[in-house]
Amino acid sequence: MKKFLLRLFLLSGILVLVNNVIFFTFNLPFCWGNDIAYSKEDYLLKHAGDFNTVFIGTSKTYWQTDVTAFDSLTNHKTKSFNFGIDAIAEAEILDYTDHLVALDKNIKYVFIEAYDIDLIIKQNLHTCRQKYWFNINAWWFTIKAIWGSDYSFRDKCRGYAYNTITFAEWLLKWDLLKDVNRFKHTSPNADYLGNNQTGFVALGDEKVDFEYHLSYRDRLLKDTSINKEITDASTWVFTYYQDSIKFNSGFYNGLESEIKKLQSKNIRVFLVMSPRTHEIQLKNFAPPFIGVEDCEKINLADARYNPEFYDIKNAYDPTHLNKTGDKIYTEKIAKAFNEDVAKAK
Amino acid sequence: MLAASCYFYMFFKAVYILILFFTIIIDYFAGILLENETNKQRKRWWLIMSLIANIGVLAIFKYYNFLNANLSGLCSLLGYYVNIPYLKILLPIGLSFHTFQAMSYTIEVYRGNQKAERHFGIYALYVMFFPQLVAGPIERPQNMLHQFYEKHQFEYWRAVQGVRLIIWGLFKKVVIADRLSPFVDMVYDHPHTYHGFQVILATIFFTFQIFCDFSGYSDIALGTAEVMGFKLMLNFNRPYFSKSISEFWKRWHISLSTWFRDYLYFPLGGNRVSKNRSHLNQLIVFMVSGLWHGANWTFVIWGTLHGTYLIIGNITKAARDRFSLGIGLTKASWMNKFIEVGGTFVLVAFAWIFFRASNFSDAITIIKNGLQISRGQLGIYILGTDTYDFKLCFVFILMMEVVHFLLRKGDLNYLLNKQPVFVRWLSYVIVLLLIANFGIFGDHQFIYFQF
Repeated sequence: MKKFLLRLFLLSGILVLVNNVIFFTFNLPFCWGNDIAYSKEDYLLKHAGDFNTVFIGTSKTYWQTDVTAFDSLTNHKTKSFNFGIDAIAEAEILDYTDHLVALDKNIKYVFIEAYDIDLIIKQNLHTCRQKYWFNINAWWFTIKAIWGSDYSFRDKCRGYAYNTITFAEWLLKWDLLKDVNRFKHTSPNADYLGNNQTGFVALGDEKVDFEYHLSYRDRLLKDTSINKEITDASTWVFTYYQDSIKFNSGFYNGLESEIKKLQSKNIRVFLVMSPRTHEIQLKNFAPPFIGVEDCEKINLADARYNPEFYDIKNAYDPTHLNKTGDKIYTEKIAKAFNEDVAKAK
Repeated sequence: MLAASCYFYMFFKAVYILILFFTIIIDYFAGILLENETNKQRKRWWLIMSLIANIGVLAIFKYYNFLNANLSGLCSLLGYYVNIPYLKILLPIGLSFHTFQAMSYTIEVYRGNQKAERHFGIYALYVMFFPQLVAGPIERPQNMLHQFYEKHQFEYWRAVQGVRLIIWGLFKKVVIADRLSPFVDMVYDHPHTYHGFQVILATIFFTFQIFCDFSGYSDIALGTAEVMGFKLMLNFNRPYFSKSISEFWKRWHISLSTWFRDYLYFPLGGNRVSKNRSHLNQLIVFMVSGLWHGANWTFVIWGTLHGTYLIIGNITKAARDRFSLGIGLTKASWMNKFIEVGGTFVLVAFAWIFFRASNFSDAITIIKNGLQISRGQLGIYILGTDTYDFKLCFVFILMMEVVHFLLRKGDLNYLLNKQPVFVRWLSYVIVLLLIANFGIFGDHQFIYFQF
């Protein structure tokens, strides 16, 4: 049995090695498996040195942070690029952050969105978008964060299994060749960069998946209880988190070490928490966010102090803001930035 | 092992395990009663009752709606209106396989070739042994029951041989069969749209798809059993290298063809009767074999076609041999072998049209359209997906057939054991890399699960 297992292990090692060498020869860009990220990465690469500020996060960053307005509000001390990508989790945000600061040495300010731990559900398990980037750092961060999360036991087990499978698939480059072939036949899509070529696209102006977003918006318009539910969740979490929610030290440590890494490169880090988030997600990342002390934090998720974001007239769909909401959202971030810069002086 | 088998079966539709238990209980007691019974007449009755119970389950779950539709059709032709309600039930997975395996037990006990199994758990495991539960091989009690009493310790070489079979089976299933599937579905799901070369190509692709799908499953089943120390019977032996239809059936789904030979063809008289009666026996066996595959006339026609091929092949054998010699082709010549193998392949592929088509009318449309060959249809990429996938289909089929050619003197393990370590490991790495990089991973079921 021992001999058999050893040989099986050796064979797996050879497979991992050979397949990784094969993939290395393709010379793929970092974000090759995600069309939006690749389009943005390609643009940044071609304009390296043009930007000194980058916003990295989920769809909430992508569709809500108007970086052109932000730059004008900071009196053009900043030249910003929006690297928001919809449907990504915190490990991917941190991974992109590492990559982008290495890509463009001119970056001085990084806005990182604090968001959910684990987005691997059955439907996106085995997909290229999920596994092409899921390296050991991402896996370890996610496993630790799931351990300290508020998920049920069942969801934790599912999370360990799905994330470990995804990591193994990344390690072996399992079933990715067809995606490489597809990637080789695609070009960056300028539609993902928005009208100002800054990476920001307001909901309602998007040229890709427009119909899908509209259908999601219908849910908010048809069922007003959704808005109340999201507002109540925020109020409850920020009022009672200290007594009722377990502190997720895995998530916290991951954030802390990323911030320290960026600060060691003389990069100023801003941690942003966006509004209109589901309760379980908020429970997972709000306490660690509040716990972080070494950087500027911009908490826009707390409904008690940011009621305008929970007003249905500023919402586009259950979890995103409309153009009016985007304006207020961007202004608040700019205000916090200006205050921090002034404080630093 | 029994618990694992139960879990495996319940994974598909848990409640259907009750059907399985029903046949297991019936056949377990039938076996004991058959062994204890000394009166031949009563013994025969016990067997008949056991067979009725097994075939009854098959009839209800698999053939009820088919029989109902045909009966209603026949009555309306005769001017009677009959309205028998249809059953809205899912076919239990692998029903035909485990029912036939259970039936082989009672028949063997009846014939005195097998002692009745007194241990209920062992008998249940014989029917439910998970590697071969849902798609065979359809085992015989003489081969399996004693293995459940033996103590199985881990053996390195058995495990290696088993894993090799699993890898090769996976390659056939996920790299070839599932890659061919969209091309085949495109034509067979839209029979009016495609013509000439497109139809011919889709039919050739289905010929390989069904082989890779089913033999791939069999290899995985054999390999899984081998790793655990069990030996299952060989189910496929390079069938597309057969030089005649008769040889094809000695190489294709061997466990089913031998089942029909032992339990239907021989009892009907086999070939120890007049020539005409023997031909009729062959036709009956193949028609029933077609019906075993599915409750649809297309399967019956598929079986009948094979039966007809076999009969015509037997009748014309002497004349064909004389003709070959007359034009200077000896039995051993490469050209003769090529013509025989090629001819058999064409006949088998043609019959698959009826097997794959949704109904008789679609099959006829496909045949008619297939005959309308024109130059324009060479733009075969219209079949769907992209050229990349399309080219890969040919490359992998060719690769598999090269391996099959190398396997002419022995099985996969025989071939690999002869090679130096470097060649063995290189083969493992290449096949695993092909699975990892070119496998189609999705919700592709094994075709034979539905039977």
